[in-house]
Formats: sequence, structure tokens, C-alpha cells
Amino acid sequence: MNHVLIVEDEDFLVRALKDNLTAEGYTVSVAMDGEAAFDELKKKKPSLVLLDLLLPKKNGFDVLKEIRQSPEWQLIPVVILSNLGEDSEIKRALELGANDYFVKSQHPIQEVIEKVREYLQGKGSTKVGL
Amino acid sequence: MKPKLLLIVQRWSNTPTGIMTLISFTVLAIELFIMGILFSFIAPLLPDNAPQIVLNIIDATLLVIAVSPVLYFFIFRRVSEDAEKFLKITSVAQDAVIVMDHKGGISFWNDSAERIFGYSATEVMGRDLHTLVAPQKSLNAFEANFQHFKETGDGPILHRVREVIAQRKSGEQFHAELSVSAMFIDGQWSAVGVVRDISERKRKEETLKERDEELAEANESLANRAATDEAIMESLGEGMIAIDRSGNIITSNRASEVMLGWKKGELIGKEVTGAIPAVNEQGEFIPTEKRQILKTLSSGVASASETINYVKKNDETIPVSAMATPVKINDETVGAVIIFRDITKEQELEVTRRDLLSLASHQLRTPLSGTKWLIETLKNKLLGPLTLKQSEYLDQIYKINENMTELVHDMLDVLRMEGDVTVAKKEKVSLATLFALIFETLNPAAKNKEIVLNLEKSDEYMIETDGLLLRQILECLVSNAINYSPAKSTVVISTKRTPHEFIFSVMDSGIGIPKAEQQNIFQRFYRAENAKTYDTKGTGLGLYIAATIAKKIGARVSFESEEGKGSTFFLSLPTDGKLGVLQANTPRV
Repeated sequence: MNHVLIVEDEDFLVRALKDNLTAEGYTVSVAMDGEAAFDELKKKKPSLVLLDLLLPKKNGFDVLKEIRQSPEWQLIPVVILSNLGEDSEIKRALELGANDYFVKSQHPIQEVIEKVREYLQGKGSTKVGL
Repeated sequence: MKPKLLLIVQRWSNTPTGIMTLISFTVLAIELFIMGILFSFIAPLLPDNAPQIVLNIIDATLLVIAVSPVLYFFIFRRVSEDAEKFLKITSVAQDAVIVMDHKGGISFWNDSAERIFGYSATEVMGRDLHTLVAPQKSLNAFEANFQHFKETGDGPILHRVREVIAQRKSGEQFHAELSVSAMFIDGQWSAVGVVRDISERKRKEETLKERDEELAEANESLANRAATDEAIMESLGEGMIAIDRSGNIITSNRASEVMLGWKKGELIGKEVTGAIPAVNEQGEFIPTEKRQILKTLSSGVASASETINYVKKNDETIPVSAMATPVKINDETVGAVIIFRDITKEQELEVTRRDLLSLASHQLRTPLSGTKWLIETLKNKLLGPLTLKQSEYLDQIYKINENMTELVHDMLDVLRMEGDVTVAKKEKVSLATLFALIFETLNPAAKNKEIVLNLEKSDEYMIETDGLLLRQILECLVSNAINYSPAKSTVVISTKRTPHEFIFSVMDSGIGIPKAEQQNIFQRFYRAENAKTYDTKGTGLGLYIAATIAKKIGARVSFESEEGKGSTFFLSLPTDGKLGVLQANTPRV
């Protein structure tokens, strides 16, 4: 069964994502800050990471960088879910190796779920959803 | 009419030679007469035995008397020739030659004196010289000195040339040069004066002097102006460097010294790109041929202002906004001037502004996105079925949330745009790709209202502009057309190429804009009355943003509209004449 790691510090966003992913049949683990993300990664290697950027303790850019540098996790698809919407931020995340980037307020949750499905069915392709 | 010969004789007899000759012959005649008397009276009185010596004396005396007129003639002829020569010389002289006798009367007056003073010689002979030719005010001085002159032949005006004011017969006074010499004649002191009329020369001198003064004045004002220009240049808060046609620095101002660390003296004569290297944001040196000032010098066209980093004297860099302008004389580019401004502060502010914007948008968007996703989760019945009423309420909340999201999005756009100092990009944009993206974004909204988006067929062009900004403007126009048109209508999008512009037009058959409100619709937050009632969720920022972005890429938004019939919005993008290359075999959208 596909497992998704949600790295997100806002409780209500975590809830919405978790409920939708679970309904799709995925198992979900949650990290509420950047450091906890690595604890969860170690506990159970996910098939995909949904990563926020502004996080306590360690920001999403650094988390992404470490994932991409780790031999164990570097191939895991990482989809950024952030409300940082500046060109420079998107560019930076993609350069660090993010597979996708969603500005949360502008996309229905269903689009995010569909994107996850695409990746986990092997159809995911890098495309920025703005 | 006298006979010609008589005239000649008369004229000759008036000359010294003539006079002398006549006198000589008169004397000869008198002597011959005396001799006749002597022979008639003395000879008979002589005794027969008068000693030989007496006879010899008488003979000799008679001989001398007989010859003397001849000698007399020759001697006086010589004198008269000298006198005549003097007269001739004085008569042809340009200066007035005047002789004043010991009484102050005129005893000689040459032709030039006649010409200069206006009196003829016969008119003035014997008359008091000074009352005739000297102005009233100088008479006293003359009289004071004249007594002394009469006694000694000396005076303060002798032996030098001096300028005086003299008076003509007409009463006109004029500048004259006077030199006076004393002459001892017949036991009395006479004075010979040479007078030169210098009024003409004076006039010329005056004119020259006036011109000199004018010139001096002009020079002074020029110097003042140059000094003012220099002062203005020096007090400019912006750096200024001027180069000649070969790219060598000819001057720089104080602000440039403060910014770059180079004194004017250190820069003058140096090739500008070598003296002041520039680097891009990545710290790479910008090659000479790419420097804007040299481009301006070779093209003769002012450059747009650009952000660049100059390398200072101490090898640090300074970010500047620079603009180069050609210096032209008679249409020929003879140099260029570069004006630059330190934008360190602006860049720092820009960073702060971006950070703030980024944070604000994040903080505002996060709760909005949370609400959105939670409602969506509910609506997708993930947590169980909803009653009809619950579903309606959720729709309502969702719509409010979406409006709020849009408002935040637009407001952040405005904030970003208004503070944005970055320059629009210039990149090749394919019209086909551009429209494909716009359609992809807006087709769902159109389909919701069953509106047909119709792109009029046109040639495929590559245009040079900022693709993202162009897309943003067109999306705004098309999105408005969809929002304010009735369901099942058609929105027509077309492009037209004129020699200088690309004109995009978006035509709808929607509610239109009331005439009275047409002038306001590009204002921030403005919404026409009919728009407010037709679609309650607009923010009033769309057209403001579109027009502002258009300005940034050098384009212009305009429209034609009739209330109730529809609107056509135009975006005119100048092509500089060189843009808009036709791509022959590219598929069309």
C-alpha cells in the first residue's frame, strides 16, 4: 500500500489532507515540523512527501535539500504545498529538486489528491501548478 | 572769361617763383634805370685825368650793379622754390598746417585746414586763431599760456602730440590730434600747428571699445553659464560621466567620485569601460562591447535605464541604475553621457518589501486555503452525506472564501506591482503558445457558463516581450469578458499586426460599460454600477492591474463599449518596428 508523508504545521490543513488521502486508500503519517519529518522518514519510508515550506525548526527548503542529498530518500517524489507564491520561491524549490509546487489557496484539494495519484501510479510529471 | 594764357600767368605770378621772378625783373629794371642815370650824370663829371684806379672802381661797381639782379634772381629763385615746395607739401598734406603769429593771428592756413575747419584761407588770414577753432571752454587755458609763449617760445603744449577738442566753422566739435612747434620769425615767436582730424578714428575706437565691452560681457556671461553648468553638474545627486567619441572620459562629477571613489583627474582621458568595469548580478564582468554607454555611442540612441554593478576604485561593487544618452552636434554623435544612481538602499528596501509581501501573502492565504480544503472535503462527502440545506450553506461559505482568496490575490498583485522596480523581461514569446496557455486557464470558467472562446485565425508570430506579464493582461481581459457576458454567448479574441504595433482584442457581447463610467474603469477598486449588480464577486482590481502591467511592458489597454451590447478591449503592444517575426510553418491554435 502506498504511504504518504505530510509535512505541515497547520492542523486544519493536515486534517483535510489526511482525510482525503485516507479516503483514497493511502496510509498517512504526519510531521508537524522540519525535524519531525526526518523521524517519520526513518520510521517508515513514504512513497511520496507532501511538503510545506514555512515550518518550525527546519524549513521546507532545507528538508527538501536533505532528502535530495540522502541516498536512501532522494528518489521519493516531493510535492510542495505552500502558500509562498513568489516566482523566486517556486524556482528555488524546483531547483532543489521538488517534483511539483502547489500554491495551496489556488487549488482545490482534489487537484492535489489527483496529483498524488498520478505520481503513485507512475504517471507523475514535473509541472508547476500555479 | 579770361584768356587761358592770362590765367596761367596770373596763377604763376601768385606762386613764390612767380613773385620772385617778377621782383627780380622789377629790380633789374630799376637798376638799369640807375645805371643810365650814373652814365648820364657821373661820367661827364669825371675829370679826364682821373686816376685809372677810380675808373676801374666805377667799372667794377657798374658791373656789380648790372649783374646783381641776375644773382638776385638766382638766389631768390632758390628761396622761392623752397617756399613753393613747402606750400605744395602743406597743401597736399592730410593734416591742417596752421601758423599763428606772435599776436595770435593766423598767418598760414593750408588746404587741409580749409577742409577740416571749413574756413577758407582768405577768410581766416590775420584773424585770431583760437576764437575761430578752439571751443569756448579751452580759451582760458590758451590765454594763460600764450603770454608766456610770446616771451619765451615755450609752453606746456609744445613738442608733443596731444589730443584736443577742436571746433569747425559749423560749430561741430571734433577730436583732433595737435602738435605745436615754435618758430622764431622776425624777432617774434610764431607757432606752427599741425592738426589731424581723428574724429573718424575716435568713432571707430568707440565702436571697437563698445564691441570689446559687449564681447567682454558676452564672455563673462558665457563664463558664468559655464560656471553655473559646472555647479549644477557638481551638485547633481546622481553620478555623471561624459565620454568623447572614442570612448575616453572627458569629465565626471562629484557624485560619481563619491560613488566610485575615482577623482575626476584620475578618470579624465581613460577609456570608460576599462576605468569603470561593470559586473552582472552573478559577479561576472560585462564585456566591453555589451556596455550600454558604448552601445549608445555607436548607435546614437539613448539607452533605457538598466541596473548594473560598477566596480569601484577599491574593487568593491556598487549597484546603480544607469542611463546613457548620446551627445549630438548637428546630428552627429560626438560623445555620450552616462547618469547613474546608487540603488543600494532601494535594493535593500526591495528585499524587505519582498520579505514582507511573501510573509503577508503566506499568512493570509493559509487560513483561506485551510477553509477551502476543509469545505471541499465536506462537499466531497468524505465525512458522510450532507442534507440539501447543509450543502447550500457550504456552497455559500465556499463562495465567500473564494472571493476573499481572489481579493487577497489581487491586492497582493497590486502591492507587488506598485513597488516593483524590476524591469520587464524581453523574451521571445510564441503567440500560439501564449494563447494555448490562456485557453487552458480560462476554458473551465468559460465552460461553466457555456461560453465559447473563439480565437480568430492569424499568422503565428514570435514577439519579444515579457511573456508572463503579457499573459496576465490577456487573461484578465478574457476573464472579464467571460464574467460579464451572458451564458451561451461568444467571446472573440483576435490579433492584428500594424507596422508599429501588435493589437490584441477581446470582444464580448456582455453588459457593456455605461458611458458615464467609462473614464473610471481603470481606477483601483472601481466597479461600474451594472457590473456590481451583475457579478457580485469582482474586486475592482482586474483592469487596474492589467493597465499597470501593460504600462510596464510598454503597452496600452483601451476599449470600446456600449451598455447592454458588449465591450471590446484592446491591448496595443509596440513592436519597435523590428519585432513580430512571422513563423511560417508553425501550427496555429
